This record gives sequence, C-alpha cells and structure tokens, in this order.
Amino acid sequence: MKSFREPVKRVFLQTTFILSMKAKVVYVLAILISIFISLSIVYRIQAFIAVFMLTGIVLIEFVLLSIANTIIDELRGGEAQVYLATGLSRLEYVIAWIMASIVYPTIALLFSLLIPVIVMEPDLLFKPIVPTSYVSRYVPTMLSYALAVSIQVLNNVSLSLALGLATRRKSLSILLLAVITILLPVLLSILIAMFSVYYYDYVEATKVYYILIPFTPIYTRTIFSDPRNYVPEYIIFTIPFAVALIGIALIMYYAESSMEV
Amino acid sequence: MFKYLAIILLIPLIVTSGAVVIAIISNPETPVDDVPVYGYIYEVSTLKPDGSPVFLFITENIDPYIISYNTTDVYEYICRFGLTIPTGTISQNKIESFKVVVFKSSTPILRETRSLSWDIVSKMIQYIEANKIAETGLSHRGSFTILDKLFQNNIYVAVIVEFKPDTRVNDIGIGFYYGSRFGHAFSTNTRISEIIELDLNGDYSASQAMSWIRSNIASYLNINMSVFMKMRISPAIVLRIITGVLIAIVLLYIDYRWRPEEYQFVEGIKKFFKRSK
Repeated sequence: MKSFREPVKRVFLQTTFILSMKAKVVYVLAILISIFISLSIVYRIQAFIAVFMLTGIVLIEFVLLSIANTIIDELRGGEAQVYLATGLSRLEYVIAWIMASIVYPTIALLFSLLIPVIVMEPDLLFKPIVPTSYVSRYVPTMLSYALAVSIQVLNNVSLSLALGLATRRKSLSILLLAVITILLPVLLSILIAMFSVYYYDYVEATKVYYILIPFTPIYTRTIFSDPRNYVPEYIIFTIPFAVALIGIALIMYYAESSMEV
Repeated sequence: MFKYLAIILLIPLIVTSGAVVIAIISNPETPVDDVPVYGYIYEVSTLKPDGSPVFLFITENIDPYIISYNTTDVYEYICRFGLTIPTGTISQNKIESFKVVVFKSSTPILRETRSLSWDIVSKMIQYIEANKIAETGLSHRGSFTILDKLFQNNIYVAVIVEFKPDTRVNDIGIGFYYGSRFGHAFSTNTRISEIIELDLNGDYSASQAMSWIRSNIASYLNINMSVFMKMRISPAIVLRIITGVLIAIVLLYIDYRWRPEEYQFVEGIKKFFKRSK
C-alpha cells in the first residue's frame, strides 16, 4: 500500500501544477456552459441545449485538445526532462497530464451541464429535454445528453492525444479530431442523403452512421433515437467509453515503453 | 487537486444562483404561448323545465397544448382564459346565466351536436361542475396553475349559456336573411324554446334550425387562452445550492489539510483573530 502512496502523491502534485497553469481555460468553458444551461432552463428554451451540444461540443473538444497537446511541446522542447529529473517517472508524468487535460475538463463539463439542472429542475435529468407532445420520436433526457457529451470529450481527446504522442506531431492529433468530429459526420451525412435517394428509405440509410458509434455518442444518440433504427443507450455509451479507456491505455503504454524525452 | 475540483463545483453553483436571481428580478410573469381553442366538439341544446333554453359547448381536449408546461421548482405555469362575445351578436340582456368552466375528465368527451333532454344535459353539467378546475363569467378572466396531476386527465373548456325563456332567434344575432332559411315553420321572431321543444319531439325542420342556431352561437363564443410563466423559488433550490457549497468547502478543507502552504491567507486570518483576543 505504501508503495502506491508516493507515486499517487507525485501524480497529484504534478496534476495540481499543470492545473495551476491550464485550469483557467477550463473555468472559462465551465462558466460559459453553465450560463447557457441555466438560462436555457430559466427561460424554458431547453431545445437549444440539444443544438448546443451537437455543435458546441466540437469547439470545446478543440480547445481541450489544444491544452492536452502542450505535453507534445514539452516533450519536443525538453521541458519534460526538468519534471522527470525531480523523481517523477514517465508514466506518472503522462498520467498527470491525462488527469489535468482530459479527466479534469471532462468532470468540469459534466458538472457545468448537470449542476444547473440538479439545482433548478432535477426532473429534467430524466425527462426529454424537448416537450414530447410535439415530437413523435424518442427524445433523450438531459442526463443522457450530458453523459454522451462527457464520454465524447473523453474519447475524442484521448484518441487524438494518443496519436499526437505516438507521432509527436500536434497537427496529426488535430487532424484526427477534425476527422472524427467534423469530416466523418459530414461525409456520412452526404452518403446517407445519397443512399436515401437510392433506396427511398432514409432510416435504413442512417445505418451508415454505425461507423461513428465508437467515437461520437452525442451524434449517434441523436441519430439512432428513431424507433425504427433505435440503438440502446448502453451500446451507445459503453462502446465509446471503452474506446476512450483504450485510448488512455495506449497513451500510458506509449509512456512506459517507447516515450523518448 | 481538490481545490480545482471545488472550483469547478462552485462555478456552476454561482452561475445558477445568478440565473435564478436574474429570473426573479426580470419579468416574473411572462406570456409563453397561446392555447389554440378553435370551435367546439360538443354542441348541445336543451330546455330547462322552466322553459329556459340552455346551450352547452365543449372544446376539444386542450391537454396536448399545455402538457409541456408543468410546474417545477423554479417556475410555475399559469393558464389564463376568458371569453368574449362580439358586439351586435348575442343580446346580453337575454342571457340568464353564463359560465366558462375548465374541467378535467378521465374519459374523453365524445363529439355531439344535437338537442338533448334536460335530464341528460343536467347530468353532464353536474359532471363538469364536479370536475371543475377553474371557472369564469362573461368578460372576466379566470386562471389555473398547470400542474403535473392535470396531465393524467383530458382537459376541456365548457361554455354553459342559459337564455331567458322568451329569447327569440333574432336575440342571438341571427338576422332575417338567415332566418328565412328555416323554412315556413320558423321566423326570426320564433322563440328558441319552441324550436328546441319541437326538435326534442323529432321535428326535422326544427332539428335543422337548431343545428344552425347552435353553430351560430358557437361561432360568437371566442375563448382566449394563454399560458404565462411565473417564477417560483422553492426552499429546495436554496437547500441544493447550500449542499453544493458545503461539498465544495469540504473539498477545500481537504486541500488545505494536504497543502496548508497554499493557504497563507488562512494563517493571516488566524493571526488576526488571535491578536484581537
């Protein structure tokens, strides 16, 4: 037990150190999201929450990845050596970065999405965020949306960072994120449009979006909510969460086996 | 680390508190939506034992229009309703009594347009009165708060109009031209009670005339219904905010115990109190 305590303490200290430099960006994001969510509830425009989550999430992910990518600068610039000289192992150093740049912002995102709802209208957690009388198809609940957003951030940022670290190129990590969050959904939407014209069945054509299930729960949650192409929530959440964990494991494996400082 | 967790817990709490305060200060009762109440599915005429013609109109189920507005911890939705009659239509001094009632019904009200005996209509009126949610008279506005429990029922608006026994066709705004369509049996000067009586006895002409009269009266009874939002701050909201702040304080305390050197100001406060003693 004692053997674990020292490394954990070192990771915590390093995480705190990183956060002392990077947390301000996360605060700004948390403030903006909280303002948006709380005012949406007060002025009863929850439908905008869904729109915001579908589009705003992309911007948030790029901001968070730019924070996470600082580790690549540190590795290339040699600053990492300074930290490692203090007795920090490579794995601890990388875990601290994962905690500060992926896990902490995800928690912040989850808090800023859920706390205004829990405080002001807890019922909304388990109710569709758009009034159901006007919408024929199944509408996800606020809790479901918040979980989808958080898992997507965890997934996309960790995978992109894994690629960035493995290649030591920030541009590649940004490119991967752009492919997952922008290019792939847009291309698939065009494909769906083409297939739906060809097959005369839009719902059948949306099955092309299965490709995105491991990466973008917020999109797939929205796409596969029609009773005719319904995919259960546990699949939509667990697969990307597992992929996120694989991404984090890859980063840690890279740190342990082949990271050069 | 715990300090940063406390901060991201406090940020949404502070923002939410601010949003609640803003919502209280700014317009506490804002119009949200109009409930479209067009026409009636139930149009029935009858004759009271004292000879007064009575008309009962019931709208379609308005529940689908208000179901999305149910009271929460932060706000409540109020439905305000009233009824206007255009001038030059129904002669108001011929109205014996007038009621607009919002009522709930566990079973749906079926479509009906004909004259019925007083026994049946009076039972219907009793049912409406027993399930009343809110009521108003002519040129007044009634209101009711939209609550969750309403949605287990169908919600209807009923208009119950009782005319004086001597009310004639032209007293309810039906002019000579339209009256002439009634055929040879009736004129605009005919008492409505007479036509209803004939209708109840199975006279086809009277039945046609009453159908025309009912639809005319119904077209004059314009129900206005709007949903308003009103802020409602329950102690539970304050309690939840306090709980959140307490959790944040606990996290800060853990962080303070772990790294007291980060909290120099606490030592300063301690010294200040020691000095003042």
